[in-house]
Amino acid sequence: MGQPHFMKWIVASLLLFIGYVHANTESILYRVPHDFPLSKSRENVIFEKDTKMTPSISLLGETMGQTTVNINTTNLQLHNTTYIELTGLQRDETYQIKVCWSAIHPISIINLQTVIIPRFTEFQQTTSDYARVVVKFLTLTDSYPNEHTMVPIQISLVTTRLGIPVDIYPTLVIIVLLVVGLIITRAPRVLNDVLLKF
Amino acid sequence: MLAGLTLYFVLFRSIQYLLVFLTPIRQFDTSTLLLLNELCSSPSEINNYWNKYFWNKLLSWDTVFFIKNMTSENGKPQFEHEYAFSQLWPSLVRFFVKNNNKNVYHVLKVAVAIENVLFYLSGVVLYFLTKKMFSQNIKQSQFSRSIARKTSLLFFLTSAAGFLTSIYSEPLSFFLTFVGIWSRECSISIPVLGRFDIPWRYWFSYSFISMTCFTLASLNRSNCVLLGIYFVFDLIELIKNRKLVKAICFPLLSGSLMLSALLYQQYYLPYKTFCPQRGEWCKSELLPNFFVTKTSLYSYVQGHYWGVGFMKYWTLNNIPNFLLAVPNIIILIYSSVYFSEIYPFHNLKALVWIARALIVIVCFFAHVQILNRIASFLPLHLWYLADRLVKTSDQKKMENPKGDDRIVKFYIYWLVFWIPLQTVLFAAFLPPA
Repeated sequence: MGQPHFMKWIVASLLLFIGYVHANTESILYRVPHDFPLSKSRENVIFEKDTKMTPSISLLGETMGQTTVNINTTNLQLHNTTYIELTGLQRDETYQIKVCWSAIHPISIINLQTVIIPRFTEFQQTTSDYARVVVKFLTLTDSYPNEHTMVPIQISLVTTRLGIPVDIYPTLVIIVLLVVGLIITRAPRVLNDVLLKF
Repeated sequence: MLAGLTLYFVLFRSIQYLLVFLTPIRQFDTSTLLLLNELCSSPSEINNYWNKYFWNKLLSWDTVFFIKNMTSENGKPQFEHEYAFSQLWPSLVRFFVKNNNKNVYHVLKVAVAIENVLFYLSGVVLYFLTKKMFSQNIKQSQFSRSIARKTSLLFFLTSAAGFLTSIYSEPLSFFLTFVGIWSRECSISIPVLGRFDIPWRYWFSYSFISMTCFTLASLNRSNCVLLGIYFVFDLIELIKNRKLVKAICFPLLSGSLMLSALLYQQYYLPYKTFCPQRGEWCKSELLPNFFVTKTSLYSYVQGHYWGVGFMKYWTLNNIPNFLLAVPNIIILIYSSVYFSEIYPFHNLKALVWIARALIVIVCFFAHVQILNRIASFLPLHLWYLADRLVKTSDQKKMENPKGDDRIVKFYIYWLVFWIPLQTVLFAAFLPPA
């Protein structure tokens, strides 16, 4: 098997697995349309009617950002939908939106999706003269007995390059170097010989 | 022998821990920091150099449930699904944690140390078990030593090695299983004339040591319940030889005690804890107010929370997980055929049936990729690999191997890539789990 072909196989496998991660992570990809009317500066355009703010993630000048929200699982029936505003996005870019929580909290995240709020439309007691991108998901308790506590949930917004989230690249580099190292040092043959002689 | 094995164990583990250290600190699943923020009072401790670059990365996947139990006040599961994870393993760690110091990093370090000690001791016990198993006469002693060395070395290169850098419960089951099999092997008489027997003087080693080890291994890891097949096999053999009293006092007694312990853990205890207020699985009780339900808590929890069930995992998106398990499925099938058809070995008959049962259960009922993590509680495939390596000591033959030797070579080559890759993926909190 040729070396480049083998690496392609490794990367393809990894991506395939990432697509099927379950457990305590949910993720979606969101592509910003090329004609999307994005705002340049969030502060100038949002008119708040009161002090209640939607949590947000800003990617201005960054390739990834994250925020943590605390969800009260005691009264989920009333407030089980969480909204996070995404700012600093670029047109024609694809982003990975990832929601993680610790498995010590038995909850489920469902209906993870993006919602476009048209300009001049009131949303969470705010209006804007630009269209806004908001992530929305539902939180459900999934245990017996039900948990009654504040559950921290981390939402990450990650730019993708070549279809791969940029936060995966350092790990991919390690994996590629590792595979190359194993091939160059002929590790399989070395181990085979060790086992034969031991 | 021990020096060589120890050297290789230290070398392999050092390489793996170096890979954990080199894995980028930003994990795919970012929940480890959320976990640490809740379990650890000081943010500066979480960001301490060694914690940040090493220890934090060991808290991926199922380790979350183990560390939660190990650091909790009472050591009891909080939710019903947490009963799917070993209670024995966290209890052992809690026993060794000094001065009730429940600091998460202190507990983690103690647990990792015990994990490595158990892993190493399992390899040592496996050496003596293999020697015992393959030295039926003096002529075979050289052969048995050689096969034992290779078996233990292969065990240190288990496909579960990546997970075993952390605080999984498998090494405890490996150790108990190997001690249990060894003790049984020392107790039964070799059926040279086809007459299986267990001398009375071995009652303690069989009905106490083996039984206790198999029971504890099963309480720790549910797949070890298959070790009960040993007792069924021995019972049939003794009955066939009309040794009814021995059949009752050895395998029937041992099997019954093992079954009782499992019934207590899987049925009685959960029933008393959750029923009748839980509803759901409580309602499947066979008799009114009787703790035996149609579904054990373990089966219910696996099905309800993790979608485990007959062919439920057979979906297109799980094809990669099946591919991951293929090397171990192949090697287990070949080893069971090898020791039952090509080189039939009476002492291994029960183990062959256990291997076959494991393949069927994992392929049809479980998340198939866990085979890579749990398969090493059976030494059958390791003996197959070691046996072929001993019989093919000529390196030239291994250049162009044929038949079984080709399978062996492929499996060893796969391990060389799988173990380091899996170690990095685990430290990066990337699948497969």
